[in-house]
Amino acid sequence: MRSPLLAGCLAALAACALGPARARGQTTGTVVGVVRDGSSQAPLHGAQVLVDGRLAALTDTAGGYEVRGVRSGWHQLTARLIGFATQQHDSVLVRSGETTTLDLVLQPQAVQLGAVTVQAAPDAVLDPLATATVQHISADDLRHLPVSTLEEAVALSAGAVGDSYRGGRLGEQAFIVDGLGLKNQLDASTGTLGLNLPPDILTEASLVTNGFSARYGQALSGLINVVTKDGGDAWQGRAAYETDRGLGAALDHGLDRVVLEADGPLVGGAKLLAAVDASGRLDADPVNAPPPTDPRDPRTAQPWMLPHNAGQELDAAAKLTVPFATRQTLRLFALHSDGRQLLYDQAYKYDQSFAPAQRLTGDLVTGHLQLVAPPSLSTPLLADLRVGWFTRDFERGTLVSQPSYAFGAFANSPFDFVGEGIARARDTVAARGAVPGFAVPDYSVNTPWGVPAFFLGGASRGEIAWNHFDELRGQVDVDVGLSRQADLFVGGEAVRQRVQTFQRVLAYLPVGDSVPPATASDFTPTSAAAYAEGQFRSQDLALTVGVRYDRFDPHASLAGGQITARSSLNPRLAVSAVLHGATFVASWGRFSQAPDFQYMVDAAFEDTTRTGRFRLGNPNLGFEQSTQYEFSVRARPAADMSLRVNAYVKQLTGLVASVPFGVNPDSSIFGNIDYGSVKGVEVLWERELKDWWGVRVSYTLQYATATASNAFQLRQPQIVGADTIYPGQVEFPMDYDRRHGVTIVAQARSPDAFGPRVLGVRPFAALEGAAIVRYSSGLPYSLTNAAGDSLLGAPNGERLPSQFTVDALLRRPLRLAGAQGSVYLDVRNLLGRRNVVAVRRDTGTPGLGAAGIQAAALAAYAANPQPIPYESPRYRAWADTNHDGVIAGQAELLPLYLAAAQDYYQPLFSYGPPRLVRLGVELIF
Amino acid sequence: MSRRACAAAAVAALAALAACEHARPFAAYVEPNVPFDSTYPRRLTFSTSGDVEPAWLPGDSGIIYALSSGEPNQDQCLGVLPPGGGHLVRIVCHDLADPDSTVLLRAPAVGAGGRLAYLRERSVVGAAAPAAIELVVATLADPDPGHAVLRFPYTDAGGTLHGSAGSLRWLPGGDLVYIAEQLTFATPPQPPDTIATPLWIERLTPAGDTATIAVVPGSAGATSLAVDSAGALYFTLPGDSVVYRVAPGAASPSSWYVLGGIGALSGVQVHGNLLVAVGDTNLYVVDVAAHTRVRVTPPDSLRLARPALSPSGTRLVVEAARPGLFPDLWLYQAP
Repeated sequence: MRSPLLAGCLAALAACALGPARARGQTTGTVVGVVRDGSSQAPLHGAQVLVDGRLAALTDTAGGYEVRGVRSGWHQLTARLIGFATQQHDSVLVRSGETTTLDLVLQPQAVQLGAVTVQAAPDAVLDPLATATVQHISADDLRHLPVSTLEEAVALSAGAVGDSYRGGRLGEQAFIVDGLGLKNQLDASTGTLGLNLPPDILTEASLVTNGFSARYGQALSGLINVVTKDGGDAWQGRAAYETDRGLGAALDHGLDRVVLEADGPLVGGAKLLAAVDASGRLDADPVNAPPPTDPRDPRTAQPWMLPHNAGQELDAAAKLTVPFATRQTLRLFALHSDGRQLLYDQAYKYDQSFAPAQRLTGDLVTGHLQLVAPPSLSTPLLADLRVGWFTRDFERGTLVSQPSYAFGAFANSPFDFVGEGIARARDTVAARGAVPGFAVPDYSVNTPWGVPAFFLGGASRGEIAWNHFDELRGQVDVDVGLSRQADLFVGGEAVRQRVQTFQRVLAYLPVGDSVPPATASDFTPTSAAAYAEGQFRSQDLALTVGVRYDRFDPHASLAGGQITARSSLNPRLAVSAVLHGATFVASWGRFSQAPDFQYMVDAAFEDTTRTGRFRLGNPNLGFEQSTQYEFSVRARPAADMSLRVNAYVKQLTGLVASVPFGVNPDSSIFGNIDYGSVKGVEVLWERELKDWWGVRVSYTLQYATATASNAFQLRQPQIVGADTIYPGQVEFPMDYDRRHGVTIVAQARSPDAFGPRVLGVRPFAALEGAAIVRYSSGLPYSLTNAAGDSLLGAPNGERLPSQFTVDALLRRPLRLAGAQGSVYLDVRNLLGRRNVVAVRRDTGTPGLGAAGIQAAALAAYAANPQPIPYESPRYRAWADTNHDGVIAGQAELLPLYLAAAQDYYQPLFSYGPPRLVRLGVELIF
Repeated sequence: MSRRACAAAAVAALAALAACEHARPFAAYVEPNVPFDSTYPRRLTFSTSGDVEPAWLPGDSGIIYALSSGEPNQDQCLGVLPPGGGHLVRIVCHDLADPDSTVLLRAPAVGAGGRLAYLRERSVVGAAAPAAIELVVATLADPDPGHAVLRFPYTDAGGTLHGSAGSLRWLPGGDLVYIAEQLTFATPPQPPDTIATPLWIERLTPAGDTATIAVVPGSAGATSLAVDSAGALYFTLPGDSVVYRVAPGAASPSSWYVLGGIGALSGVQVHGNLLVAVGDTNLYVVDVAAHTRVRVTPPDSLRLARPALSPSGTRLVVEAARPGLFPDLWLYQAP
């Protein structure tokens, strides 16, 4: 920043706390530079610049070149001109949405130099064009860090709390897969996307928490941008197998994971990429809960693994890249995910075949045609035409038959649900009667305690839940290089969606006074968007201005067609400059997302702990919105170090929350009535991996408050002690208001000739290690009375304990039969720390407490005081203290009820994962 | 060790791991199912709400009887005990979810191939008289709801009101025999009770959801009924100690055995030459061919009723009640 005028402008903009930026969430980046004569240093005009062997640009009269639309990843870049030696750079790293600067010098001799291995990476730290807050995860990170999935990798980012970003609710993020927007618009706030990208197909992923390009919508808090790789020039691949077999019972959670990936050329320049990632675990959700205190509890012998908690996941992806003409490329991508899980229900601990199960499948098929204007065109032009078809099916209920396992947790039997036909047909008439296949559950007779209390058996809870979501999306993006100092991005999208839902509870009973009717819906929302964004640069100053128009129309027959479309205009602005070796970015932007469609349809619930038995959908919901301000400073204290500080304020408006409906105290309806704000500071310091080691430290300080903590939180006056708190006047911590979070990611690699030789091998040579240390303060929760219907303090007025984990990965590269490979040891929660992740709202502790258990036992005894004769399956000889063949009276029965209560109220899922260890071997061919 | 050998060893080790079985989560709790004690006579049930009408499953594989469900609506279910006693291995109830009605499943009879017949009585909770009684034909594998082949009450062609049936027995060919009954109901101020008056023995041939019925001649007033493996009927009449027999294909009964000196008989059971009957409060086991009898006197002043002789003829299960209390089941070895 050399101009006082520019400095003044920047200061003024910063004072206004401005926000977002350049086209983030793209799949491509830009390479720019100048080609000079090696002898005279004069710029060379007309030199050819080739990317991966294809002509990409011609230098202008100033020797400058700019190649847009270069796919994220490593590329070969070549410059050539008659009379000069061709220069080739084999390792040019291009990151999506970023600019890599590479100046080239050609020597005036007709002798071609060999390939020069030069790493040219974009420097997003000082790049004034990088105005968004982006945290990258490269394919290399995914392999070398103790993470297994994209979600785990993204969760390492500053400001991430699980799937919540910068204090936002769940579902305030959108996925961008190869430039195409993707979101589970049905129930993003309570469900997952349904698609899992095998990490092996990724070039990179990044989390963008602010400064979204105007190109993208459907999100308030974050964009997860994923770029898949194209098939390579030669056939290559990776095969890996991971397991925790043979590690001892306490570490054996039944994990098996197989990964296969291969890619290479086909005929005609086409390239294929295919990958399969299958994993299964007999205990898919292992927890570090304490062992039971009663030795008769079967968990005593092996408290580390829960039954009926198995899960298997199959993800398969394929991508075909077809170049045609000279600068056009067609990419076809398909992804299928199938996740099946048996769900552990403590009530069915002893009758597991009646416990619920769920299946989530997703399919994505996309096509991407990229058109690049020839280098001779005076105005660089890049057009991307994308179309995508996304389907997601969710089902939860009772399995017709339990799966039979073929290998580990992999089953070779179908996952069929009772009542599935009625659900898929959304037959609410047939569902008025008791649904065939269901029976009335009773208290289990298979417990060690025998008494009719707490535990269920004989039949399931009678739940059928099914929903289907699909969307067809078309998207056009055009990048126009107006000049070397100005770019224009314009485009739009159109989406047609379909929502089908069905839900029935207590299906073993006909619909009646105490049994809500089945709910079903079928409607086809549409949405559309258009955007324009300009980016202007002047030396070390950049200005990005954009505006996005969003529109959605639920087309809901739910309200008799009375509901009309609604729209939202979202301007975004960012300015950045380099001052004294640091880059300052100020950004401002408005963002909006359509609400989950689940809020538009009616729902039936068996439990009354949320908002009641009958929850009315509201088709008249509008956009949820946020306005974000951010000020960032980025600097390089040393050549291999970077420091970033981001300060942000996010104002939330129109978030969905529940309000009482009618006179029924158990009924509620959704509305765009919640508002709040998130304020935070993020500090990220990184020492790049160099000379054996590298480390990245991020710290987040954050305050997230709103008038209702989540969409299901009933917004009504709260009586706290002697005070009445009226909603809309007071803000409370949001569910993901994590005040402090520290994440340290460290990596190290020993030299190839490191350490002593043992039997001809250097065991410590080329050894790779990585560790992730996480500390975070506790999330908020609300404390209630014992009945759970009255708050004892302010909503979310209490805090969980802090959490601390250490994960580690140790990898030893090997060569096997001429191929490279490695063996690795991946350890999560290395210290085995017992982190409390949830507590009971009535006690503020994981467990119910001795007094609560005593009360529960007494209540259960009072409900069923009848004697238990010997012939009854409930008879337990050890409780028949007088050996008269009947367990009778409080003296004999109450100990059984107490033991049952202690068993039932074990706080199994209040704790985070235990120490998890997996051994892996991989072969790279 | 070379690097290649090291890698091969690592891969081989992981391959070996893959061949290993995973540890498995704990299995559901299983209470050992053993008899209460090992002596005879052996008390099988200890419920205070009445365990009645025992019958044996084929091959002495278990004992089925009627028991209280323990639910507030006083439903009655069918339970299956292991042949030597222990804990119920199966309980069949009907429509427990309806709290406003009482459904009694009772008088089970098991035939060859797992055929099952029983009575299903429905009434409003607390009512003195049942609203309807059905004679149900089903299978042990799928006992409820089965086929209701006969509905009580009904009036036959002769104008006689049939209220219920008792002593259901299967014949080898798939027909049922039973004692047709008239019912009267004691109402307050008398203690509520159901009084069954036997009419005669009827033979029922099931046909889907209906049946044809024929009266067994000479059986008027029969108080107990048994069937042997050949299909012969044995019954007793009130007021004497004669056991009558109707041979297969015979038109009328004949006197088969006279158990003199013990008054009126009931609860007759026959297996080959083995005759079991209740006289006074005792149980008599008779070898008809040898003309020998054994009197089984129950302990503790128990009153015995409705003995059921196992298909092998080696064991007896019988209702036993102390005065004023509901009966339990006891197991005897046949002498």
